[in-house]
Amino acid sequence: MAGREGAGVAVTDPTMLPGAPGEGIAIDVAEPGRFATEEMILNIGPQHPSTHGVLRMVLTLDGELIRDAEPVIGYMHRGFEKMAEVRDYRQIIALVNRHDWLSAFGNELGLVLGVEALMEVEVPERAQWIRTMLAEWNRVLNHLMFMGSYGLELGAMTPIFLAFREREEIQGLLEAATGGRMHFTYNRIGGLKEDLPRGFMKESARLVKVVRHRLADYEGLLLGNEIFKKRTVGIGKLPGSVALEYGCTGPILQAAGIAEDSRKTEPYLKYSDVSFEVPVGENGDSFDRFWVLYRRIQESLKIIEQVHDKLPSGPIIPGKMPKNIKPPEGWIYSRAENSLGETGYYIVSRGGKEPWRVKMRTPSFSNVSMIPYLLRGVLVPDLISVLGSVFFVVGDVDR
Amino acid sequence: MIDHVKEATGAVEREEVTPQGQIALHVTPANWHVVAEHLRRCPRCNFGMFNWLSAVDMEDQGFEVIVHLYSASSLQAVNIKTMVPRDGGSVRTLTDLWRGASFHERECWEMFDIGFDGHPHLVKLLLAEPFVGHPLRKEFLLMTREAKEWPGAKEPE
Repeated sequence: MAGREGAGVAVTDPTMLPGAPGEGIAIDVAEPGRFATEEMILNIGPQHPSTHGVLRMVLTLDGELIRDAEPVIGYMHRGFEKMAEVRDYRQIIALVNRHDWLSAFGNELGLVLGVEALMEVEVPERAQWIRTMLAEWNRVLNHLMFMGSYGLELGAMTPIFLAFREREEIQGLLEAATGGRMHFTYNRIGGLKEDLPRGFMKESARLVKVVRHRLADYEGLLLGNEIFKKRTVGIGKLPGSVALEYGCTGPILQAAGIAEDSRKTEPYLKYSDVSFEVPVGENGDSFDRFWVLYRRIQESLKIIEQVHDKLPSGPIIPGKMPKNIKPPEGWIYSRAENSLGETGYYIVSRGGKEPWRVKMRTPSFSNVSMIPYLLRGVLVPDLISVLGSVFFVVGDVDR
Repeated sequence: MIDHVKEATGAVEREEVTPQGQIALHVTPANWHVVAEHLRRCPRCNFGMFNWLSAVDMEDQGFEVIVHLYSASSLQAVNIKTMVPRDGGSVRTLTDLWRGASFHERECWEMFDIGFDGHPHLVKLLLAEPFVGHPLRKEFLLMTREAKEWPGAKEPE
């Protein structure tokens, strides 16, 4: 069977055309390297469903193969660090819970922990336990969103609807306590805005059972799904040492086999008083990153249950807090394990009511800077599988 | 760990430990890369994780450039700090030691106008191409503050 010279595909036998008796089509496919190919630049975004916001990717393609990729960010840069320099510390709490809109409570935590450490404020026991519980509920809320949307990106419609079913109930619970659905602003320097409302614990206990029960749906729909596995196992492998070089944290780093989690390695709040595991992946591929997300929800639910048992009574904010918050001169880097990784704040105080400088270290920024490494040598159809599995929020990248 | 770095490199001007136990090593701009390289390559230090890099405007003194490193094996964190002049200050890039330094250095360059010698691709990252100025310098005023001063006197005591 000799095809025509120079043509990519050649029909060799007219009797084998579709519709002809015998059916089907026999083609010669040129072996790799037979034709000279040209590199092509392809823009993806800034608005593309898999980017969860406005992120642009400039791809250098050779046919279907991605030779190089460059994320172009900054479309949502809102100058939070500059704005923080002209606001007092209470105002900054409302400011910082906006950059990662899926984990507002976790964002606030890093900042208030830092300011409290600078001022040497003793946070009441009850406030610390409530913070622990709400931080974990926020983590569940965030991870459910990504579990749903990742399925959607790979062509599975159902998980996103299931995720929103759970999210709606959890948001209702957090709204009852904080008054906000997304931007909670529940933390204050020294404690919390107010105590939990009546009936919160009962509803929280019910939701833990409900969410745990419903997690089995995701296991059947995605983790055990043959198509899902075909599209994620072995795709976008990230070695642990490279993840560290790029400063990746959270599910990305843990999927790469490194059990770094500041809740374990530098416990803050009440994390040293509860037992939980840090899930670790084996291959660092897309599937592992998704699996780590799923396991982190289970561990968060475990922590919430323990807080239910251990929550003491008492005040939620120290009795004698000054009206003007003025940390003494100095600097501190305070970090907290947020939903997507380590969210840290480098705070420089000159003794004023406004900070001299607040540097935000956000997990999505570092995770996105690693994307070119993952995409080199990947085929275009796998782009979505890789991009979706580097869970990031664009507001958290651009700040 | 501090003593070991001081001895091995001889490049640490002074060390600083805050009341909260956080460590900073102050170096000259010329020794910036030397100390970083030691922390990265020496098996006793093994700071494999590049956490973040940024700067602080110290007004007359210049800009303090800070890099925060972390070791996933010893669970230790360390800051390296250096002071560069306001105009034309620069340090050597760390992209040859940690690939993740690239984004952070690009951000620091556009926000403060601090140079990173040897950076392979030093172009704007977050700011738009036509944007003029370096927003995180103190002389760069927010637009609202340019229009009207903050009524600071009206605060509760």
